[in-house]
Amino acid sequence: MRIGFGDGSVHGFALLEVLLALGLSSVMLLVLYSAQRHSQAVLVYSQQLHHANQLLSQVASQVWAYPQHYELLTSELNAGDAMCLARRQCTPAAMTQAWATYWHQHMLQQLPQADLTVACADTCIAGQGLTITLQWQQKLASASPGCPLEMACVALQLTL
Amino acid sequence: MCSAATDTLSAHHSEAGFSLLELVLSTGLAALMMTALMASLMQFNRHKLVAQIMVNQQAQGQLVSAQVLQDWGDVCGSGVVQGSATSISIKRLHQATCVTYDYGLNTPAHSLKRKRAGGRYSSFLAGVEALDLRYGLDTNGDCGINLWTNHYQTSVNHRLHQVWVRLTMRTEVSRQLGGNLESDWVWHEQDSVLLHKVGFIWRVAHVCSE
Repeated sequence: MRIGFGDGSVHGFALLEVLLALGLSSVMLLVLYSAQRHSQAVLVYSQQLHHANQLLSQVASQVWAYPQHYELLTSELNAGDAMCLARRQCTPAAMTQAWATYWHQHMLQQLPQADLTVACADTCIAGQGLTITLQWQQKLASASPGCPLEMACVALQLTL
Repeated sequence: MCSAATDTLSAHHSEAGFSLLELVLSTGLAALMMTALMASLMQFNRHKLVAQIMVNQQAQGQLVSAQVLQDWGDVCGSGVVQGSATSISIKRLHQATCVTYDYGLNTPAHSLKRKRAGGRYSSFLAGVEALDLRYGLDTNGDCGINLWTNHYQTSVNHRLHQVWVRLTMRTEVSRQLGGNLESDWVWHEQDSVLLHKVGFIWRVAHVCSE
């Protein structure tokens, strides 16, 4: 097919040219869309990191407050009494469980497949090191030692 | 595909011009391409605006916690004198003397305000919608927090270990975004701003360390 503007059938665009132009436009739109998707994913990752750092800072504060009960801070049971964080007197164990529940219900929800761990390097006594680690599913995270593939990991080291 | 008589444009005889079908097809194609292009540009613009808001929120969150923690970093004397859910009085060093500073929420101005003893309130942090302070107290002398409350008064019977600061921040939103918001955003209808929460804990230094 020729679309001519003059006096013969040789002028104008060939069907092939039109198809090529269409194809190129589609590729450009696709590239634009992919770039945008990637940029969006990076933004979400950045938001997650920001969120994770806020959480680690709160966990660190409570590790300092309850060094003997730090293991309960990562308990996944939703058994904590929310009132312990709102005007009810509680034991240290109940307090740590209340924090764990609060984090699981509010903060960890925003990180897909999040896992929070608190572990001592050796024995959990004063002067020893303790590491708080938070990992969640994130395809953009670069591989790092000790961190599973396609997972993002952030860690905070404290001395008891 | 089509015969030359019907699908060519030329200026001088019956074979000239575009056929109606070609015109319709070309217009349709052009419209389709324009729609795709416009949708893509609008999506790109929206993405840019959302990115700006998210970065603003992050920066605001980091700035507010850094500023509050830095301001409360050099406590002296009895440290926190008293506090409620929306205000707190702290002893801080000022020119080598221990002075009481009052902090509170300035609701009409949407900011945190601060005042030195004998002085006047001035704005301290902008863009604050709400303030909620909770005080982690040790009331049984075991050097562990056993009570979180929203009221505190210096007393020999209890020690303040931590202050949990929860702020609701306001972020301006471009008019271009309109009401087209992300699902997890909280929108303040009256003022057309986005609200987001920032929470951090201030550990009062040297409690139980003597």
